[in-house]
Amino acid sequence: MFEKVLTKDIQIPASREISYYLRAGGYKAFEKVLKKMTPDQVIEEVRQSNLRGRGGAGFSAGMKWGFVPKTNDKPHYLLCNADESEPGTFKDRLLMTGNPHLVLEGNMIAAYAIRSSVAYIYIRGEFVEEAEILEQAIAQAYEKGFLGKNILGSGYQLDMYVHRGAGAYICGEETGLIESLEGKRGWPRIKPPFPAVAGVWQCPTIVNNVETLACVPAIIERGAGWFKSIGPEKSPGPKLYCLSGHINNPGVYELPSGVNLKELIYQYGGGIPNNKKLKAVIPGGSSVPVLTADEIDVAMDFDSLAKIGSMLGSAGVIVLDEDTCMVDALLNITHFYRHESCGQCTPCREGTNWAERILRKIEHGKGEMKDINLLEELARHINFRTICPLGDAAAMPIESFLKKFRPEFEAHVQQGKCPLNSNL
Amino acid sequence: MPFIKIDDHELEVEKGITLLEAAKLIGIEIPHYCYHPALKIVASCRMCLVRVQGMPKLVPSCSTTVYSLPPEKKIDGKYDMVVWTQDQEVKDAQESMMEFLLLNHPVDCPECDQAGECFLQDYSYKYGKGYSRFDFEKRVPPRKDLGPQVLLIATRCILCSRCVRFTQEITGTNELIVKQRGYKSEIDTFPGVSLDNKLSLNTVDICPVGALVSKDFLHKPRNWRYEKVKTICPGCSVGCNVQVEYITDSNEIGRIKPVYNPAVNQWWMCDDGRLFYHEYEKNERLQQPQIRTGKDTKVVNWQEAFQFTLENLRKFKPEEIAVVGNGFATNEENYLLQQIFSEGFKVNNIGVCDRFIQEQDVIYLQFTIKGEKLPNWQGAVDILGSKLPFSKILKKIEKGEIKALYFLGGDPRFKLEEEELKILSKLEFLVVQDIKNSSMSQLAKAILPGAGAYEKEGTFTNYQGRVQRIRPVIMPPGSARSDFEILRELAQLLGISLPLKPRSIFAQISARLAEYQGMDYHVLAGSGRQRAETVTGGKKAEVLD
Repeated sequence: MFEKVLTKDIQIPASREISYYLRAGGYKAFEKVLKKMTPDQVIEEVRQSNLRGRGGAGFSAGMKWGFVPKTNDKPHYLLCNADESEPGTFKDRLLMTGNPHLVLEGNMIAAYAIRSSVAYIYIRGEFVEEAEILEQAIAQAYEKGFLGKNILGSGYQLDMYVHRGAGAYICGEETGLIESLEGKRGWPRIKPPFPAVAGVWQCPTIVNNVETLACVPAIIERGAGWFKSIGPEKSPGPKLYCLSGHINNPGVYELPSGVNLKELIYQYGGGIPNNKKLKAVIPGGSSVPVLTADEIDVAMDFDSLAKIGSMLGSAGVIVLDEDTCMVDALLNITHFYRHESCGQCTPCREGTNWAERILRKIEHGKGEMKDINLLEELARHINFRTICPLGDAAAMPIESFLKKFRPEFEAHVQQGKCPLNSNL
Repeated sequence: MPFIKIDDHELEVEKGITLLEAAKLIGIEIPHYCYHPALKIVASCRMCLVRVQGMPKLVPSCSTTVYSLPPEKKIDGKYDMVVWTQDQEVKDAQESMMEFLLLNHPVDCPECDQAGECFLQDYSYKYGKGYSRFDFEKRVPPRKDLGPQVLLIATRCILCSRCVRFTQEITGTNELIVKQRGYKSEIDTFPGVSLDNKLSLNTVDICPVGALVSKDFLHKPRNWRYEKVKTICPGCSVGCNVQVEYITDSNEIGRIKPVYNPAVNQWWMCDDGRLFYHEYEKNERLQQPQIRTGKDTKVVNWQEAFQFTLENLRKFKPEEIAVVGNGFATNEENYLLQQIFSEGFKVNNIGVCDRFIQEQDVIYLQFTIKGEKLPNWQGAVDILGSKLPFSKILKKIEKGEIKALYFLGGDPRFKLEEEELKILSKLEFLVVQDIKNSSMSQLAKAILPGAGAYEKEGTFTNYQGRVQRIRPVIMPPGSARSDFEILRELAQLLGISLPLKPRSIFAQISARLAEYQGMDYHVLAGSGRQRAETVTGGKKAEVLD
């Protein structure tokens, strides 16, 4: 049986206390980097481990850290992205509630590696309890001397702050997050420059997802080789999968990266309630292209999903059974992106709203065949044409739903009503 | 320098300039809304997307900069970048942006002030579809009164955020914000704040559509009906380059806009200057020459007025006569005035109006409005010297040393204190050459109606010493004449031989005044020229701030 690394003791309420964490060998990795490793050695170890960003993009964490200038003429910042808001995704929340010190230790090691003496955890506004838990954990870490000046006699100084957002999805986009942290509207920035060069207050900044950082202490302790041996070599490590939707056992599952999706749904998730048939799966949070029931014999890692035209994203697996109206499901998703569009770029601001209205029209049986084509065209006009990936996130579901479930859309138009949702 | 190809054009350009700028160099105009050369680049309207070989998606040309490739990586062995601004994919993007921007737009062009100079209109014709596929109710955000000068017709707004960035980056006053989010986004003022700064009307200029409108221009005749003349704003000593738009038939100015001059005003001008043309309307303009023999004045023709003026002036000894030039008069007019009185009457008391510092300099992040309000005070001092200001002349009048005064006016705001009027009433003979009825003209024996700054030709020297051309836009009212014409006539009657045109007078000035040496009237036509700093007679310390 796979040994859990990130969520091992997460069921035990005391696991969030520093005393428990220390007893279980916590902060040993941080001590190791402070006493035995240079920042560049830490970066190299993480690069060797092939740890890839768990926020959705899947970019090599070690490589990203390597982009930070080696000089210190400007302060460097570490930003932990705890703005988890992608529908279907709730893994970071669990880590922060159940294993906050692991998150903190990951932050500390990363901060040390990029020569930063200030780390911010940007947490979404709705996560009130989680923010309190993190603040308490930070206070405990200061008390035990893992934060503050001259940490463990090493001369290294690190301060850590929790910064609460105001509940906008867009602030989970790393440059939107930076703007928000600076006190501005969460409008994503144009890249380049990338945050590693000019991020918070135009200083070199690394933004990493909570889960990404939580993987770091184990990499330091057990080595890159060990990490790489879990799952596919190019996309390895323990991975948190969020199961939701029409599933018997919804929840967060820690499994080796690359677990088979079918196995995840039927073995770990206990299959679909009432023995209904599977219609579709969204494998990586609501923004990624949907899979049909025939496509689920696939490994849940970045590369395998990319190969079949979808994405691992945030590994938020949304299961849809045979009774699901795909038009309604897409309307729900599109409503979300319309609501969360920051409004900066023309295609995303105007296109998501238009798309939602067309979808509502179709779902309510008022659509025409030309609306389906228009919808498809709209998605093409939004996709890849905005500053940040929110436009793509809105367009990809539209494109994939239409590609794979077009007959359902046509049935709505032909019958003048939703074939599945009689109460509309 | 990188060697790039844009469509069919090959060019060498500086590394780091944007593709939009590079394309402009070869005459390719890439459509854009949010980009403005003076403002931070946000690349959000997505109208300027182009295709760059090797890049996975279309890129905004306003924010993508030119780079160079190592020799082995050059495209086709020679190009650092290959850019398409008009291929199918780009056109598809442009057409879709236009469609998106027009979804909720009211298309109320028939009643929109911007129609005719609107980028939504222009780009619709060039890049748009020509019809709408949007069959839902349009969003109708309410109009907002943003401040004393500017109105927001929010239905027309395309959220390019130029106006917001203007208040952040140019004025630093931050009155404007985008509020709400996504498709509900709206331009508004920060809660409790009004768009009340002295540069506010520039937001109307930079609004690419008809969303921000000037209350002063609201519902005036359509913009294509105006003739346009480039001249200099007379509102203060900055000397902003402006374009005055007027209607010939009615001889009326419709509006004034800044013209780009990097050495003076960049893209901007202040609201006071922009609305300064109304100052000329506030008081009754002088339209006919008048003379006063007894208590009452009578309207005469110019011939009679000149005769009366000269006859009376001749009654005084040169030392009993004083002349005052003006910071609203052109350099050529002040020069003529000086020549006439020093040659024709051997007068030594040739003075200049007092400085008119109405307020402290108003300093914004990237623009300063000068407190010194006379547009050509610097030039007046260059020509007339600063040793004898009007206030000193008043003292001489009070002492009875001066009995006749020839006063050249021109400032529509000019006012005298009771005290000063009392002194002037001691004069035996007062000639006022001015533009409007005033307490001073009521004391005058001869009233010669002159012209406003938008009615005459010549040069102004701004506070920096930059010499710039002003040009006549409209006609002076009634039989009023430009001060240049009046003075030239006087010179002729006195038999003084002087050139007949401002440009030839300017040639004399540049031949005689060290600071103006080598300047050519025609060369000034563009963005003006800086005059030299070699000031004689200890004036330098006085005239330079």
